Amino acid sequence: MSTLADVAQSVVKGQMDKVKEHVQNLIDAGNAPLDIINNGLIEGMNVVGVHFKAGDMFVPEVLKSAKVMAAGVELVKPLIDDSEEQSKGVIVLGTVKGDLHDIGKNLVNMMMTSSGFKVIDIGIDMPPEKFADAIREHKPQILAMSALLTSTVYAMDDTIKYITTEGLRDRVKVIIGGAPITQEFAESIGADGFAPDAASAVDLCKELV
Amino acid sequence: METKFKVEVLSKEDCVRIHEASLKILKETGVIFHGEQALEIFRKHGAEVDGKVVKFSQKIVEESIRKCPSKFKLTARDKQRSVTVGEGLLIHPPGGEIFVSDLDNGRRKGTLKDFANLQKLFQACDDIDIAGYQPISPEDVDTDFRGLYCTYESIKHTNKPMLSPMQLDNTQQMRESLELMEISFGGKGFFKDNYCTWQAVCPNSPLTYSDYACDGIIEYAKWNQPVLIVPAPMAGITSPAQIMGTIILQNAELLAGIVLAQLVNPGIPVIASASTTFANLKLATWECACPETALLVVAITQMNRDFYHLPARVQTGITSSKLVNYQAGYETMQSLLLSALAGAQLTSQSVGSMENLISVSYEKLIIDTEIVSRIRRILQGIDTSEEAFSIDLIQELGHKADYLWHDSTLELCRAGWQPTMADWNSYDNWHRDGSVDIMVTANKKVKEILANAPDKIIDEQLEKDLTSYIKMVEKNR
Ligand code: B1M
Repeated sequence: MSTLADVAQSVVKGQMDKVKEHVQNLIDAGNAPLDIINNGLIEGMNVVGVHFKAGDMFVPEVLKSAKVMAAGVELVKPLIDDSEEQSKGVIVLGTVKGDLHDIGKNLVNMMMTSSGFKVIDIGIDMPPEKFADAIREHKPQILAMSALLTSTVYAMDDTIKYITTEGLRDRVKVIIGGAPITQEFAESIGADGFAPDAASAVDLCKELV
Repeated sequence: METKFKVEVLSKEDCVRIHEASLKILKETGVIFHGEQALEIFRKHGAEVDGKVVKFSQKIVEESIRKCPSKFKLTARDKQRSVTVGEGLLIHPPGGEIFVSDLDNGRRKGTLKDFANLQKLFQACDDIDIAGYQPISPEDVDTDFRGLYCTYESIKHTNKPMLSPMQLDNTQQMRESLELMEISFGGKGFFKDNYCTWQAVCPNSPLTYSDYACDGIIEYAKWNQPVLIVPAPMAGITSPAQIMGTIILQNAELLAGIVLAQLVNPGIPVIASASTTFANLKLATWECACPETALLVVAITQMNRDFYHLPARVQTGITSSKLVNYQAGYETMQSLLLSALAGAQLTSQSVGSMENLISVSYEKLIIDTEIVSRIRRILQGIDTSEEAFSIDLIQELGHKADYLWHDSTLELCRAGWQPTMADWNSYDNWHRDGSVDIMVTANKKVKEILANAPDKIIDEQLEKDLTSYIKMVEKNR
C-alpha cells in the first residue's frame, strides 16, 4: 500500500521510479487525482522548498525533485478533466529588452513551476511588445520580469508603460527582480512587487493571486 | 619582475589535452555567433557556417593564435605611465559594479561623482597600473550616454592607460567612446598606430557569442585596439560541473573569439581572460570565492600564458563578502596570490570589488592595494646571490646577537616591505592611539586622496574639445 506521504517523500528524495510506483498505486486504489497532486506531489515540493531555503538542498537536487514531481503529475493528468485542472495561477516570465542574463530567471521559473504555478517563459532580450502579446495570449495573473543590468532595468519601466497604454495593465500584477532591483525602484516604476530571490518570488506570487 | 617560482595545476600534457579537446569541440560542435557581420566574415574566410553555428578547423585556430602577439605596449596619455601588457603583473580597476559603499554613507546606487572619485583613487594609487573601465554605473546619467560620460570622467582624472567602460550598449556608443578617447590623445588617427584601450567582451556560455559580443570584437579590432575576450561560464550551470570540462569549454570559446579578431585585423593583440567560476550549486550562483574558482584561475592562466603565449588576464582577488571583513580579506588574497604565482599578467576586479562583483567599496579598494603590494613583494622572491648568503657576517658575529647594531642591517633596514594599512603595533600602542580599525585607516586615506586630487588634470583646451564632442553627440541623438 502506498500513501500520500510516500509520494511526497519520493519527491523530496528525487526518486523517479518510486514516485511513479506510489502514484500508480494510489490511482489504482481509487484516490482522487487532485488529492494526489496537492497532498502528495506538491506537498513534497513544499518540503523541498523548506529544505532549499534552509540551505539543506542544492539546486540540482531541487531540480531533480521538480522533475520527479512533474512525472507524477503526468500520470495523474489524464484522469483530471479540464475544468478541474487548476494551477495556482498563470505567470508570464521573461528577461527584459537588452538583457541576456537568464540564470536567475530560470531559477525563478523552476521555483514557481514546482509550487504549482503555470509559467510561460518567453525568454531573454524581450521587448515590451512581446510581454504584451504574451499577456493577450496566455491571460496570466502575473507578469514577471527579470533584469541584471543597471541599463536594462529601465526596460521594466518601458514595459509597464507599454502594457498600460495597451490597456493590459489592470489585467495583471507585475513583479520584478534581479541584482540591481530594489524595493524602492519597484515602487518608483509602479510594479506590484519585488522579490530578492526565487523563493521569495514564489511567496510574492502566492500573496498576489 | 617575473617570479622565480610558480604555481601550476596542469602538466604540459594536460595543456595539450585541453587544447586538443577544445579543437574537437570547435570542429564538431562549433560556436554560435549571433552577429550577422561576424558570420559574413567567417563565410568569407572559408569557415564552415551552418545557420549561426560556425565550425573551426585546427588550421584556422592555430594560425590565429600564432598571429597574436604575446605582449604589447598599452599607451597612456602620460607616456611615463604606459605599460607592457604581457609582462609582469598589472592591476586594473573593477568593472560593472552596481552599488557603491563607503564608511560614511553606506551602500547605495552610484553617481557620476562616485565614478570620478574612484578614478581619482586609481590615479593616486601606485599599485593600480591601469585606470578607466567602469567601477560603478553612474545612475544619475541617462543610459544612452553613460559610457560617454564615464569615458570623459576617466580622461579628466587620470593619465594612466585607460580601459573603455563596460556598458557601451551598441557599436555607436563604442565608437563615440573611442572617438572621445582619441581626442584626448591628440586627435583622429592616433589609435591607428597606438594601442590605448580595450573593452571587455563576454561570450554567452556555453559556446555562444551574442550580437553585442560580436560587435565588441569587430569594432575594437577595426579601430586597431586590442580585443579582450572574457569567457564567464559557471561550472555546473553554463558549463560542466567538472573543473576540467569547464576549462575546455571556456578555452574553446576563447579560441573562437581569437579567430574572429584575427580575421578582422590580423596581428591585433588579444588579451586572453577568464571570469570563469565554479558555481555555488546550493544557490546556482556565480561564485568567485570558492577554492575551485581559484584553481580554475590558475589553470586558465597556465593555458593562456604558458601554452598559448597570450597576455593572460584573469578575474581574481574577488570576494562574496557583503562587508569589508575577515572573509573579504582571505577571499581576496586566496585567488589573487594564487593567480599571481601562476604568472597572471593582468588582473581585473582585484581592488575594491565585493559581493561577487555587485558592489565596490572605497575603503576596500585602498586596503586591496596593500594586498597587491604584498603580492608584488612576494613575486620578487628572495635574493640568492653570493653576497646575500652573508657567510662572512655570520662568522664575524658568531654567537653574538648584534645584528641590529651592525651596518649591514642599517643598510638594508628600509629595504623590507612595510604595510600602509595593516597595523603592526603592539596592543598597548594600538590602544593608546585610539584602537583604530583598518576601515577607519582606509577611510582616512580615501579622504586624504580625494581632498588632494585636483578637480581635473586636463587643460582648458582639451576639456573644451571633449565637452563639445559630448554636446554634439547629445544633440544628434
Ligand atoms: C520576476 O521576479 C523575479 C524575482 C527575483 C529575481 C528575478 C525575477 N530575477 C532574478 N531574481 C533573483 O533571484 C535569483 C536567485 O534566487 C537571483 O538572480 P541572479 O540572476 O541575480 O542570480 C543568478 C542565480 C546567478 N547570477 C548570475 O547568473 C549573474 C552572475 C554575473 C557574474 C553575470 C554573468 C554570469 C553573465 N554576464 Co553579466 N553578470 C553579472 C553577474 C554578477 C552577479 N554576481 O550577479 C553582471 C550582472 N553582469 C554585468 C555586465 C557588465 C555584463 N554581463 C554580461 C554578460 C554576462 C554573461 C553572458 C557572461 C553571463 C550571463 C550568462 C547567463 N546565461 O545569464 C554583459 C551584458 C550582456 C547583456 N546585454 O545582457 C556585460 C555588459 C559584460 C560584457 N562586457 O559583456 C555586470 C552589471 C553591469 C551593470 N552595472 O549593469 C555584473 C554585475 C557583473 C560585473 N560586475 O561585471 C536574484 O537576482
